[in-house]
Amino acid sequence: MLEFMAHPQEKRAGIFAITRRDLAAVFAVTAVSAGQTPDQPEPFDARKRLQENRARLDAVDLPMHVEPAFVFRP
Amino acid sequence: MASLPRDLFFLSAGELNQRLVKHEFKASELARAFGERLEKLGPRYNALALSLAHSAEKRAKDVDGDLKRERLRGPLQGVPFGATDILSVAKTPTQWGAKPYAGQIFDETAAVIQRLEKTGALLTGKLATIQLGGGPRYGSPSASITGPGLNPWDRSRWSGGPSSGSAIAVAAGLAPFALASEMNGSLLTASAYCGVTGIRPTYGLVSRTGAMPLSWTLDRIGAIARSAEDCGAILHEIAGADRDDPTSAGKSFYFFPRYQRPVREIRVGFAAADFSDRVQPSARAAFAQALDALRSLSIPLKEVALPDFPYEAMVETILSAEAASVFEPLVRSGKVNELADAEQIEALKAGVEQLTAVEYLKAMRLRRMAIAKIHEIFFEVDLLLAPTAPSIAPRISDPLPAAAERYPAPDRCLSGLAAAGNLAGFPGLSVPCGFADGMPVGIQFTGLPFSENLLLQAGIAFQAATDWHHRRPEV
Repeated sequence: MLEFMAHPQEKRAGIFAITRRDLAAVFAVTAVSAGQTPDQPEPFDARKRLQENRARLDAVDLPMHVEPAFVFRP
Repeated sequence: MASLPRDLFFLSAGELNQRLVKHEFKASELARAFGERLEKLGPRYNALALSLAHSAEKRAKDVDGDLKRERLRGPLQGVPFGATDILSVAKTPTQWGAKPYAGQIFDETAAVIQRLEKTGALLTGKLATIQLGGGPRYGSPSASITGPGLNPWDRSRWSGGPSSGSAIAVAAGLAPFALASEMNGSLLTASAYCGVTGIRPTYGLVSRTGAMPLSWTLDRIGAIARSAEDCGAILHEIAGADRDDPTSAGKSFYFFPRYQRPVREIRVGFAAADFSDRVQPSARAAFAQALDALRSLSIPLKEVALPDFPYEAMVETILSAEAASVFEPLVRSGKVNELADAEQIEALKAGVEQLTAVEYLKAMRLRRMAIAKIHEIFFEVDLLLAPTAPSIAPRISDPLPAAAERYPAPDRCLSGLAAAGNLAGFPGLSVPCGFADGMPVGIQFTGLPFSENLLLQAGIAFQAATDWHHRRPEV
């Protein structure tokens, strides 16, 4: 893989030198191999979603006298 | 397969009944033909949960006897239909689309199916559903024991759900109409994705006895059919009080299209941005044509907007809490891990283990406030109008992003109408209104409680002025 990413001039000269750019590319490929592709959506976190919903509900002014929308017949 | 002409499979329920009354063919022939078609083609789209063709043919003999003696019971007599597999049929499996409930059998048939059978309609099969009616949420079309519902217009795309099988069956001519469920816009969305007509009745109008419980304050049973007129005829039969259903509104529904006021007197509220900025670009032309069609009917259109509430958060909180209560035993037993969708498993667990009563009550209190504010819109309009879904059906291989994430809503619009309509218990009707990238799109009308006749009048008028509901996929 390092050979594949060697700079063209270095390849022609038969010299293979690892540059900082090469190392950065290697680390990126390694990250991709580990499944950390930045383009894929994160796995759904149900508990985080509940917290987000709680925050959205908390953002609305809710007067004390408002009763729940139950259906109740004694 | 029975040798009835192929076009027959795409006729409306009303048209089929008229031909039965004229004795052009028998109910038993029709039941056999649709039953065979459902058995043969249903699995191609992952639409079939359980064939009941045999029992439909047996019942059809009695219907033929009635028709022969001209004992007429209405426009659904002799018409085959399907039902989502969250509705029970006595002594046959009702699996709710979920592996933990495979082989589950009930002693009673759901009230809504019983009502249809009394009219002489013939149940030919149970149709596929997202597991547990899709509650509280799911991440993929494959969240079902039967696999992802495949859209008859393009099998690489989803049919929509949870009542995937119901929408597929009607679109592909496997059943003239089907019963379906709705809690957060799903019945209407699946109808739009598949190019058919769907009605979500007012909360409490149709009995839920014999339906899988999911969210006591949101769930409804509705119908998917080939036309608004059919939806009206179906609702006429399935609506009504049920003392066994504590959420029953105790009201009936009578479908009398001839006695409604002129359609040009129906005031319709809409938001222009919903039909342009908020929808898939390739669908904008179809939605613009839909607005033009309504204007050609002299229907007055007025710009309105929903009051600002966190509708989705409210629905999700209520649904999570109520579903958690229903399925707590499933979670505590560990059988929840047998479900086919990781997101659904985690959502059920989080609901049982994390959601508090205070959060649920907060959502229910906000619900009361929101309902009061939404009602104020109807001082100025009779119906609300919006695209049923902002885009065409997604591909099976794609995850299911929320529509709001893909097409962000501008400030003043009816974004959130699906959630708001379900929170408020409002009825809704979706009708096909065109195509984008070869796939159907639809518009939805929403009205005040028990305004179904108004919705249907608008839908019937729209379908008289257009022909989208007559289009059909190559099956």
